[in-house]
Amino acid sequence: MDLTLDDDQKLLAESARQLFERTYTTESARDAEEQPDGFSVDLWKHAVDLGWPGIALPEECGGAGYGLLELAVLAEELGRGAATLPLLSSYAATLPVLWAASDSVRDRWLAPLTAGEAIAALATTGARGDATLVVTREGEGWTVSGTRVAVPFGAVADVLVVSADVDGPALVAIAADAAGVRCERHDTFAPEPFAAVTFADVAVSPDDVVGDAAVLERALAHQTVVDTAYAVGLAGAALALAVDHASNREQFGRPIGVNQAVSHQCVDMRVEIDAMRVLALQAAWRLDHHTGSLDGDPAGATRAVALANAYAREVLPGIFARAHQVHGAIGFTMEYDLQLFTRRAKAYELTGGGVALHLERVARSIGLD
Amino acid sequence: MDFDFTPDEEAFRAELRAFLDDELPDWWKTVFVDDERAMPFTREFCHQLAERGWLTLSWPAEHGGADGSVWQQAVVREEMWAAGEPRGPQYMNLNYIGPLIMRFGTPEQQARHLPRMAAGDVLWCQGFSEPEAGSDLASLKTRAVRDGDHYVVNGQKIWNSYADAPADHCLLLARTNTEVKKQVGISMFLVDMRTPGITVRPIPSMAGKSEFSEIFFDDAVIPVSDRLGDEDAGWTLVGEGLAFERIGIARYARANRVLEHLVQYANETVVDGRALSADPAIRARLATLATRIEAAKLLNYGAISIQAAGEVPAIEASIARIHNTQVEQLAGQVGLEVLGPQGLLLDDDPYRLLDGEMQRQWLESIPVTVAAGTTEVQKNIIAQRGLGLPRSA
Repeated sequence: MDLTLDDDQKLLAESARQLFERTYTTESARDAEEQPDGFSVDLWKHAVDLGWPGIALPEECGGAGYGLLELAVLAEELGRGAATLPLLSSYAATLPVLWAASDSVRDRWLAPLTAGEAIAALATTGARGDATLVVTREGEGWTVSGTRVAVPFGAVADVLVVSADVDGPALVAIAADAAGVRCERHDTFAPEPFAAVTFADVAVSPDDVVGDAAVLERALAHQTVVDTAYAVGLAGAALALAVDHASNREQFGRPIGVNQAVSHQCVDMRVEIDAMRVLALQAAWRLDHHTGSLDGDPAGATRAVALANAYAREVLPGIFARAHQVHGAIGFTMEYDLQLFTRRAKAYELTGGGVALHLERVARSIGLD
Repeated sequence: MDFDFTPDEEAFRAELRAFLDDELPDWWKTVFVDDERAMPFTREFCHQLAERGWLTLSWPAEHGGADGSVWQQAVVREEMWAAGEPRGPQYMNLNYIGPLIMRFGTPEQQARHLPRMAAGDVLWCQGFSEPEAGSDLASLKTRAVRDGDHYVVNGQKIWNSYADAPADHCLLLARTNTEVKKQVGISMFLVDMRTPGITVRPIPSMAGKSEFSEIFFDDAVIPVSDRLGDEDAGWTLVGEGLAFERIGIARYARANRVLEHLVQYANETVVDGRALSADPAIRARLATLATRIEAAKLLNYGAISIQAAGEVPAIEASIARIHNTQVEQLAGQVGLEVLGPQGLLLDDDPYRLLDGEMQRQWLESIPVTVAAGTTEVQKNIIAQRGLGLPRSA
């Protein structure tokens, strides 16, 4: 047992933190929201140069060969910097290609995705919760029609990894420029550029199948864990702002932070953020140590993932409510930075399955029939 | 990072569990019940542990220990607390009173006290709080006035767990200097509880008769040789002792045992033709409890990891303590919610559920956010030292 980060992991976190403190500050995060695709192409290039897209992918396909743990450590710093990048979502969508794709799909996508030259997106959420796509047999393959919503970075994705019922629940890789695919950015208060993707009789061959339900489940486990680590960073930034405000804002002739009604709200945030972090890191570590089939769970990863995701979604609304309460009116303005984190945190909370879904997974994992 | 115990540590845990299965009698619940067999049993049990070398596992060999790792110690704490802490009051000897004597005691004090602790022969209580000195402990008024080779002690202590066990010794804080800042004029003593002038009066609590007591000192004569550390240096020792103590109780382990029992109960119980475990509200409540238990456990492990690296986890230990005390309360709360009114029935009622465990858990956990430093005191520490916020008004 040792819950401390090693020197490499500390260095990774520290260098990322400095990048966001010095270069890609919250000013850059504000600019990014105004960009046509909703993120900073300049920051993405920088991330690609640093090798971040392949950090947790194997060296055989051009990655750095680190684990999900390192990506989670990095994700926290992205959150703290209010960075909006296709990094985490594209990583998760790359996993089915890595684990279960045919040679032709791997050859086409794996190296460019690992290098960050291409972007992938998981398209699994149906409108109003109905994830059904119409699948029609067409010779050896199929055509698929229907809609996916809230696809992360869907408007800039080069390849979509889509859940579809082709001879049973499966994932299929569909190039974004394939005939019949249309991607359109949603208009949302969340900074992450989500998109609606519609498929109109899009041709899919058996070679395009990149896994079954178990592959999707495991890819989503990776996705949700790094997203939770990202949310730890968002919450940490909100706490830092709250502490700064409580220390400097004076009323009745003294900083408001001398009042326990204020300071203890900051402490309550810290107490929950520390728990969010260690739960997320445990989930990442257990997924890294998960070896063997995708169905089994020898390392206790399924339970650890459910615990991390459920806890974070349970406490995050309260953490941000306290951050806003400590700030008073200024926290509600667009001029002040808190909103950058609050809006991202709400998007996190609602995507990747809500609190009820993750609590139910916890319930199953503790042995409730 | 590594989130698993080693195979050796797991094997040790299995051995410890088998031992507990064999040694704990059917009637054993915890030391905090009104069962006159409980306290004598804890003494006998500690002898058994001492014989196997498990009582002072974590102590250095020179003081009768086995140089065990902090992680072996964590395993012991988890298994003991989950089993109702059958070491009784003696966990305090092992966790911090012994280590304080190792660090600050004279060779004579070490020779006198440590072997008896290591043999499981001696019960200690702690004489810190006073009627007018709770969270503001440094304002304590009990006086120890130097007179040649002894001190004369007068005053009153309160909320002293195990004092009526009866305890053999008391780790006492008393004021030796009224001329200096309140934190500076305090000394720590290793007091023999048979000293004339010491009276113990139990205070009945919601959880039973034997929870805590008052201790009165009326011209009690304490030899100077029983002072631990320098005169007027007691406050520093308190800081050291309490830092050890914040992660010294594996409260998440008992909460987890409660959760296991509740899961089994929910699976086996049918209400209105439906398994209780099929009730989405019950499932969500138990799942929430599970998330809080895991958080408390990992935060404790995080603080221990810092300790293992040779640093002092001051803030981390306070954060872990807040989670741990709150999760013990949540376990009792959720436990009674799941059982309903029948959960209120005591151990000897024929209609009791789960052997009365949930009412006991609920009652016993009421004071855990108050004892040994309230949650609010912990939060002040975190606010000032952890977050750098200005001192409270």
